[in-house]
Amino acid sequence: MALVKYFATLREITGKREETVRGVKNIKELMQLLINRYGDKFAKELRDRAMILVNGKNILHIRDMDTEIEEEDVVSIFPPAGGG
Amino acid sequence: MERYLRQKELVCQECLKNSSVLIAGVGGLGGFSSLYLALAGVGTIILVDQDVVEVSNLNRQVLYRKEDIGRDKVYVAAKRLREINPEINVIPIKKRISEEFDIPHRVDVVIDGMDNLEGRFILQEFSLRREIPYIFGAVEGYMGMVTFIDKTTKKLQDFFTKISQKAPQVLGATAGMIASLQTLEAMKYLSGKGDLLRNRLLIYDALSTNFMEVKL
Repeated sequence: MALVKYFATLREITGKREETVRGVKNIKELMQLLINRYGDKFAKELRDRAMILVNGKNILHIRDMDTEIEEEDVVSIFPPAGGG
Repeated sequence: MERYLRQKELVCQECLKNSSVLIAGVGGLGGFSSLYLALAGVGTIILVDQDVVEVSNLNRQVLYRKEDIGRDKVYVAAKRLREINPEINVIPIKKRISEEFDIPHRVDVVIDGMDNLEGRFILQEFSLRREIPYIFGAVEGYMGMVTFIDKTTKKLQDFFTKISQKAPQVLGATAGMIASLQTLEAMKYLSGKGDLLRNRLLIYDALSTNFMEVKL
């Protein structure tokens, strides 16, 4: 059971701050489940610019979409900001 | 010291006076953070930017006026900050934040005012090399984020995905909000007060009026 936290635009799209998700082994399975649940808008945001952290670390530095999700893991999804 | 009468119980004024803060990028974020630092009496403010003032800056960059268009930002900003607080030392450096970036001055803390990620990574490396904190800040749309990075914390590359986007939409009010948070982190650090945003990425979403914290 992982805790998924949504921030900014992802919170708008899902209408949730966070939720627990069961029965997924890795980020790929989690994202598929969330895309099925929240549709194209979620998929687009994810593809275009969302950052995914597992326990505060970007999945790009773990095993990207193959990053395994364990019990008690916290997955945070949010868009980046790059301007100043 | 009457100038600082209304903050004397909040900060270590002597600490601020003896401090040197580097602000890299004097645009939306850096304009506000340099202004707040100057008002608060930070003794030395080093401004680094290579750009000139453009008309499209004027929606959010608080230090510039229409008649400044075409002038170097660092010199205009330095002049304004000295007018606002003649007691402080402002050092303008017209330079790009590139791999070779270095300056001979003492720096106690670095505040991010960059408008691109590449520059931010270089700035972070500069700070880590000098063993001084780097206060990350960025804005985009109605959203902004801040965190406090030093040798003990997670680094930009641990949580940030390098996404290149040209000239994002930015509001002055969002830049001001994020710059204000960055400045407060700097003043707390320099005064030895409070908890800093170490390993905590603070995201402000103005559309939903929410502060959100990601544990890094």
